[in-house]
Amino acid sequence: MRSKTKRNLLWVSAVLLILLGSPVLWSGGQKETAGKAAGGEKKISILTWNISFYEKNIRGWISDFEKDNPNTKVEWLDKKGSEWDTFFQTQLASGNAPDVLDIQGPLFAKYAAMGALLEVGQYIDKDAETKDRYNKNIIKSAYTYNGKVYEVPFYFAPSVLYYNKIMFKNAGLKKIPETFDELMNYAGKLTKEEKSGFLTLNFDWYWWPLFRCNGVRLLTPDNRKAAFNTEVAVKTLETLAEMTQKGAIAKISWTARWKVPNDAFGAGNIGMYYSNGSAYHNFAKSGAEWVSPDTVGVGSFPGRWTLPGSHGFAINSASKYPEKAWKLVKVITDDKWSEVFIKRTNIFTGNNKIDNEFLKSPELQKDQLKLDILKTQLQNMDRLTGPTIAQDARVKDAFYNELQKALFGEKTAKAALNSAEKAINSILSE
Amino acid sequence: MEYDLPVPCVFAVYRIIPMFWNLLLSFKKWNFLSANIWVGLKNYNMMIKDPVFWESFRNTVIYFAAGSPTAIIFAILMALLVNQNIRGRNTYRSIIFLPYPLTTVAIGIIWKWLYNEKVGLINYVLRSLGIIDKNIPFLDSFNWALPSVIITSIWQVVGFFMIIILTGLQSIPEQLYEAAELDGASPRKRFYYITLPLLKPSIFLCFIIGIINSFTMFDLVYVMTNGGPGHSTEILVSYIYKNAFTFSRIGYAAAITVFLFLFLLFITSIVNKFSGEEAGGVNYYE
Amino acid sequence: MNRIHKKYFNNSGRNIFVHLVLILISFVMLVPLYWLVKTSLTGENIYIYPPSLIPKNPNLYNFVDVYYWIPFARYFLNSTIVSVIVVISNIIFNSMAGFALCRSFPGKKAIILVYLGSIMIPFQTTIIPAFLITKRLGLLNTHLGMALPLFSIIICIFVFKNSFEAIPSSLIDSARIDGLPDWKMIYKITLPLSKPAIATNVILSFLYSWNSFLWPLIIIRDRNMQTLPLGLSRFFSYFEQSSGQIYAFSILVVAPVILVFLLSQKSFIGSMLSGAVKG
Repeated sequence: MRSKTKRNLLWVSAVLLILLGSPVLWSGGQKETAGKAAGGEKKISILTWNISFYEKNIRGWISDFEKDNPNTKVEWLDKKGSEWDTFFQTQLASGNAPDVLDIQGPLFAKYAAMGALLEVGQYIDKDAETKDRYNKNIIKSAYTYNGKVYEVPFYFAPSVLYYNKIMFKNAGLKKIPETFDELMNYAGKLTKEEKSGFLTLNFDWYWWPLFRCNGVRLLTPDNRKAAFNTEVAVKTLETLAEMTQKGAIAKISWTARWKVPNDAFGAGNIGMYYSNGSAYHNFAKSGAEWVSPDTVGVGSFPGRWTLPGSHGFAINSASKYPEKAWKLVKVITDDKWSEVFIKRTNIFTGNNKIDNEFLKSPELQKDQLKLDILKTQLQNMDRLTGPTIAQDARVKDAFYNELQKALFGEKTAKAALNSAEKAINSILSE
Repeated sequence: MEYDLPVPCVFAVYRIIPMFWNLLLSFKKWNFLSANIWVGLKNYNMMIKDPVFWESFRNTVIYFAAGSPTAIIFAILMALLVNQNIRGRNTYRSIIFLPYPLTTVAIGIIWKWLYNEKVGLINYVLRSLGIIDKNIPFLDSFNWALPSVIITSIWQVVGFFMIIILTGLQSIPEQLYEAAELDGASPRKRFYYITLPLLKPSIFLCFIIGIINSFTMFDLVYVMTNGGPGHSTEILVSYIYKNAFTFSRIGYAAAITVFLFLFLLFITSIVNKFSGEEAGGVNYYE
Repeated sequence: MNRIHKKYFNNSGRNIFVHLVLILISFVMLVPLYWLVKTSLTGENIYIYPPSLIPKNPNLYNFVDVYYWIPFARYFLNSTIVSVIVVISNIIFNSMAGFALCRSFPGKKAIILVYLGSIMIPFQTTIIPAFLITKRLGLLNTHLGMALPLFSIIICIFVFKNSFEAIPSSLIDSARIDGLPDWKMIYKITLPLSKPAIATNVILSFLYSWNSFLWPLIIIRDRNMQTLPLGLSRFFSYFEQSSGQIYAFSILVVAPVILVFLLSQKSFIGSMLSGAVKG
């Protein structure tokens, strides 16, 4: 190797090293992106959860907010469910996290326990405009953790039981089941070859009402210990396993998440489908021309147990401008934008006035199925279930893992529930 | 050799520093927000007692032991076939390569349907042909789920391996074959004594890619089974990711990362030994 | 090698057998893809039973939708910029590193160990420190920031190394006697003799960068800077997911990769047939 080239290369490498390394060594390579924008303007960010289809209206929220707050710019970010958590936590670690957060289900409890969220309850109560704006039921059961309110309702779609009227008719069934035993009995009757009687969503705690409707409780009232390991639960699980092995409960109930169950029901091979209140819009779109008020019915799950299916807005406790963040949340959940939302999606917003007005609106009366779905959801607001605990994801994983073992015949129901109890108690005592 | 310097610079930033960061974190407890607390070997202790960790480890080993070699053997056979002077071989190459660049999400959705017990195509075909009389619950059973996911990942990656092998085949100097031909060596002998030994570096590469692929297979696992049923398709990478971002136990995830790193380094060094050190280097003119 | 194969195996009976095997393989590779294309054209529900073989009323609506639902052109441009940076840097850095690894020098084993060790760290577990460093570098929300972790793909170094090793050392030695500096040697002698390796580098680095998802997801906040894979989430939107559009999008994303593959096959690997290696 000739020395000149050698020197050149060493030189190039050194420059590269310095270029790459210098900002790491000298801190402050870049001004904080969160917080201050140019010219003394304030900047806040909002992170939504997989609603980029709603872009036009989100721009509307922002321009309404910016009109009232001329010195504040809003940055909008949107992430898909499976990446939301990863994105948010990376930003959190770097001190860049967005100010306003649209969080799904009980996930907010994890962040509330970390101290990442402001208690928005005090803002709601202090503000005359918002004091009576929101549905108290949903706030209490879906947005409260440890007695404090951490989220403002954005939308919620409590779970309902959809059923295929054609299959019901062919099986000679007239009404929907009212008890767990009836549900299983019907599922058996509806099953043949490629057709399955019953399908449930399994993410979040959607399968939990299967136990809850037999009186099983997940945790002790103080959320410190497992309470589900009872005789009744063992029997329930045994039945579920037997029905799963028979194919009366579609196996994808336990292995597939959002899209596959929707497609499967949309294909017309599922008798009863226990799912999110918004699932209708998905299975109706999955190339299923047969879906109509004459062919698809909707009702409550036995015992009327239901999952909230909620999304709410939380405010990052590290936000530099929490007052501005609150103002943005107020704009988004006001009458104008709530009405736009419910009209576009047919999903409850938690804004009492708007939700009730929409139920009475003439355009909704024309669509019997949509109306029934919404009415069923409202009926069961006193029967919301599912825990709101900081370790939700771990508890769910520990339980579900054992549940699957029993359902697929790897373990007896008794053994599975025993080890689930042990695992969950150990997580809760950490 | 200074030509080697620029590359480690990039690696330093994106690989080596993060690795030390992981090592440090594996002795701590942290959740992105809290101050991180030194907990000594607690994370490692937890890891040894965690049955899910061992299950994911077992699955990872199965994936390496069964998935990678199968894919490599198929890839060699395919590469030999499409390296011949036949018509349309570029088309064949493209078709075999086609699945690799596809979005994993789309692949996952399609295969989930192919594997479906009641309405899936595979069961439909097998039953129509009279090969089975009871449908197989591929992804919906503890026994079938892991092999099914591995088959899908082989299907996806085999074309990529084939390209690597093909590159290797084409760098084998022609004179070697000419000389062997003059010596009267049969085609089979030429394959065993020239092609195969000189493909060693490419095979080594495929093995390394198999490791990387096991990281990207994580997406496939996520879409197809999310690690289930139970944890029967959970692999270490997916378990690390779950712990870090879903359970927010970064310290614990870091401990598993350190374990995975050491494990992979260990098997790579063994394979490296077998392939004659120097990352499968060969001397073509010895 | 091909010429020899030609001499020995170019009898038609054997060729037919080879074609049969290849057609069978192609069939296995294509069946899942067929359903992907079919669904993108019809938007039908794949869970309909029994499966229908022929698309009903095929149309291109889903493709049109994809184009208009997301800023497709903008995302396409971003993806292209990042991929071009990645491909160029990979060829430069990897050929340099690969060239170096063919020679013996002190610390070579250590360097190989560093390279191999770097592969053993899953990227998913490095994103937090990598993110913090990139933030310090001031490269968040930039094309360069997206490209940087992929500047040198380790396996591609070894692809070059393997290929360079096959070049007769006499060729390099005589060039060295002529006084050719190393960088010129790489550029003038070893690279032109390693066209399949270049092709592989182009394909792989392009592919990795084109499909890179997690990293852009984390470091890009500006909507105008997003790349194509990030656009996929649009079609999984909580309320409106549609199979047809998901598949149409996947096809539009994969098309450039296939194009790059075909082009590099043709111009690089194809040229090997004329026997570029001359001892």
